[in-house]
Amino acid sequence: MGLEQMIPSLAGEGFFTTQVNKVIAWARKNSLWPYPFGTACCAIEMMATLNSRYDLSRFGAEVIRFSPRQSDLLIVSGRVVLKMMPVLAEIYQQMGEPKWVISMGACASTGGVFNTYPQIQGVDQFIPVDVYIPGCPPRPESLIDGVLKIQKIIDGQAERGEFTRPTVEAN
Amino acid sequence: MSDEKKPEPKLPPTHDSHPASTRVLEENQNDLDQLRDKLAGRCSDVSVQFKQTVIKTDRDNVIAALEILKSDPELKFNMITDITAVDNMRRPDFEPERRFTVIHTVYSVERRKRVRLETDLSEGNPRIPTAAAVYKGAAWIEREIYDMYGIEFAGHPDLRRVLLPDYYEHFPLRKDYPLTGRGERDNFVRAEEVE
Repeated sequence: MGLEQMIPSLAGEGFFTTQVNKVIAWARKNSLWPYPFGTACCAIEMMATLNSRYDLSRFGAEVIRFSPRQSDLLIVSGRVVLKMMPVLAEIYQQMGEPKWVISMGACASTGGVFNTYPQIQGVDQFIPVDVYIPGCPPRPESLIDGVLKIQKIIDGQAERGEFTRPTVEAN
Repeated sequence: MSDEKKPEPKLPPTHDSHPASTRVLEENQNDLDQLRDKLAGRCSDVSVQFKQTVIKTDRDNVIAALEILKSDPELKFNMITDITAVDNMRRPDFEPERRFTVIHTVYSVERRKRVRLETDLSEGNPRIPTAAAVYKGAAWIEREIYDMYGIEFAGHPDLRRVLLPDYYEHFPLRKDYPLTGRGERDNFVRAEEVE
């Protein structure tokens, strides 16, 4: 990519060239500040992921922020109902750009087993979602995998919308 | 494996053979007679169903019956455990006159006794006087019943929805309301990404 490949005599001289975008993306992906929208049991797994046993800080995403204005990764972990959906949408809008969204678990992604009148059947109907994590609840490894996929989106290895919503085949 | 015969498992005493059970039944009978006596004219039936004392009453007498249960020095049912309701619509013996049943459960902390009051309400006029004047704790429970069944509690100090949002139009625990709702859950504006 850089100048050192075009001018062979410069190679190995203790410097390299790159693009500002890539440096910024590298910095961003390694210091995600998640906003935990934990409404149900998925939030317990999210807490486990942040604890020392799984230690999300190994991937640079341990600085949980409880203000949407200070965070850039929204983790929707749990059921979202009628009364909560406007709150979630407002929190999403309060987050500064750039921002990414993980829909964690069956309930946030599809409504899960709660096919009932107050339960939102997938938060992606009303806010954009980048990564869906399957499971009920997902294990911490799955959440870590989701964060790694967000990192791939940030540094351009994956497109936004590449990880699509899980679908259920009708019987 | 030894050939020794295992000892017969010791069964718990059956209901009939248990010496205490007859005493309990006698006490129950005395309790029922006492309730019939105290609530004379305020209830249509006092019986035992599923080991629970059930008092059948009606809309006009339920509050008077609760007052007696609470304030009578021998009954002393001083705590409201719960108020709930049933929609009888899907029952085989359904009649519109008995569409809803409101159930008051009261408990005597001192006597350790519990009774249940059942009040039938008609489909056209699901109204019942509030129990909040007798038991203060009833106010919030009645709001929840109003929220889910649309049963109105006449004289309630603040009859608003408790769990569902105020704009909600239906009463979801009524049996004629579909489980998946009438589209309320799909009716939101999408928060779009700012490009």
